[in-house]
Amino acid sequence: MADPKPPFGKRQRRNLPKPQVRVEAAAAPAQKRSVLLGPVGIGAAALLGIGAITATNGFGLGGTRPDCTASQVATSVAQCEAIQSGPQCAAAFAGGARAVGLSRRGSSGPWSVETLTAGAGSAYLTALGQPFTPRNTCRSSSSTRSVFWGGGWSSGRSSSGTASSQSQGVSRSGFGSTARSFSSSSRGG
Amino acid sequence: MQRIAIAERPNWQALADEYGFAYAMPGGERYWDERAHYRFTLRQIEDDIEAGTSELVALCGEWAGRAVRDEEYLKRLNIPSTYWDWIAQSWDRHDPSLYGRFDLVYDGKSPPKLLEFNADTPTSLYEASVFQWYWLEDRIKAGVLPQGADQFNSLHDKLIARFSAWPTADLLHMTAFSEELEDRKNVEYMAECAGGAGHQVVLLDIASIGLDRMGRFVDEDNREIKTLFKLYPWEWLIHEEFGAAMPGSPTVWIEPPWKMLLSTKAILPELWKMSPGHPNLLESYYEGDPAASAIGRDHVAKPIFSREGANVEIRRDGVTVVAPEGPYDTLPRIIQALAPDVVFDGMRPVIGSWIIDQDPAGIGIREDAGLVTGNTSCFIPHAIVD
Repeated sequence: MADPKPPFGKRQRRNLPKPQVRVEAAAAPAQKRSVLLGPVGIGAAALLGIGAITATNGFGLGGTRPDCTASQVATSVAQCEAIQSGPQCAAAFAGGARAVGLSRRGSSGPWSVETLTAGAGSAYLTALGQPFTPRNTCRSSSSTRSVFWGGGWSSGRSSSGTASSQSQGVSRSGFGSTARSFSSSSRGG
Repeated sequence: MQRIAIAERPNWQALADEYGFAYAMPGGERYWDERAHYRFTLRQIEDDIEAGTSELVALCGEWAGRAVRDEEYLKRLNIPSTYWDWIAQSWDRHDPSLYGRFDLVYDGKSPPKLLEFNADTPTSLYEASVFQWYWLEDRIKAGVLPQGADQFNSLHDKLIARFSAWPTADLLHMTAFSEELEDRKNVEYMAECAGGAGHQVVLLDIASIGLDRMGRFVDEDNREIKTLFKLYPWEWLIHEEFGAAMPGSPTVWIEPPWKMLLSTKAILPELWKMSPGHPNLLESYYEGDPAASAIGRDHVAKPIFSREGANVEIRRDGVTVVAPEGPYDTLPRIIQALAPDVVFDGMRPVIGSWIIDQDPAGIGIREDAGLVTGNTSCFIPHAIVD
């Protein structure tokens, strides 16, 4: 029985099967495809209100890239130092911080570290009481130093166990066994 | 549709490094290859690919609505009955979907044909969404492509917009088997998009997910995982140790559980049975179905779950001509009529037609000289030039 209100495929499909008839003489639409992108492209679309600055992207084409900002929250020294090495992370947490915010402008360069406090819900607040919103408007700054993965790859913690490990009433390693058993295959399609 | 050689940007590898496109040249072999591009007319994109993709979305939605209470189908997918109500509830609640990718064969003239639907864990997203767009901008600036050139690509914007379907008040956890570089990078890109929508993202390895005594999934800091994006297949999750806890946990999953109904090649015979002769479908049956003999001796056999072309067997005149090895050789298979052999300059392109939610949002093309698109097939950028 077909679901009357599907979450997918809401549009009525065409009354098929019939040979698809293409109207070759249809007038060409005035609007090209990437309407959301506009002439300046998706980099600008992702700026989210942050001003454009000449980027040092080395294109050699005389072009410029809009600059970007990135901010992340770390809740441990290890998370913080995975993003920015140096004494700031340890100092912040040694001072009692439960979370720090890391920010930088541009896709390279140092991160600044500030202490955060817990706000309503899962929000974090700066020392000035302003919400600290993690975001990344860089197209991809996914260098190994800017992203922290809990467990597995980057943390140095083992995720290779096949039996659940348990501490403080929490079991782990209950997912991932199939991937591990597939030595060289990809999970994506 | 044409395949046209084009000068590559002299610094594209440096750009790939700069942008974190770390799998552009795995092992020194090109995955991203911009020495050529595919060129479409706007009519081809809109009338054939975009419209065809919308049509396939509608077909899949219709099938999912039937499949959700089709016990024979659920058993065929090897989904234990303990998950059936959970999947049905997910469908009935309209749990939002983020994305998917239809793989199509298209010659520029005839309606595109569906090879498969990557409904759950599609990859090659970053290169389609971002790196390909930068390529277009650069080639236009360099005068290599005309000023009016365009691209079927609003992926980035639509992804950010779609992430607003989930509440931003709580942390958004995102997971994958993070030792796999491509998976990790795809999730990192998704995290950027989620961040653009105001989400506070926590990345964690799939094995780091914890399960507490109250049946809640938690992260490494024992914070409850309220919403979880996973680049990890449903058909694996449900058979792993923690799988049994999923229906009872309050975690919201991206993709939602009902996507299990579509993230399988078993949809191919079902769609064909539902709409035989549909111009965007290839004739398909389950292996062993006597009706499969209608396809004849030229066909392809595909495990109902497989990735990157693994264990796909192509037979011509009844003789196996290609059969890449892989880990899916024990799974039930479907039989599909061979797609038209579309060849440009000796290469066979497969068009990955992306949907965000249920809207066509762009394409990424992978090509191979061989008959099966596998994990070494190159990604080739495209442009729309009228």
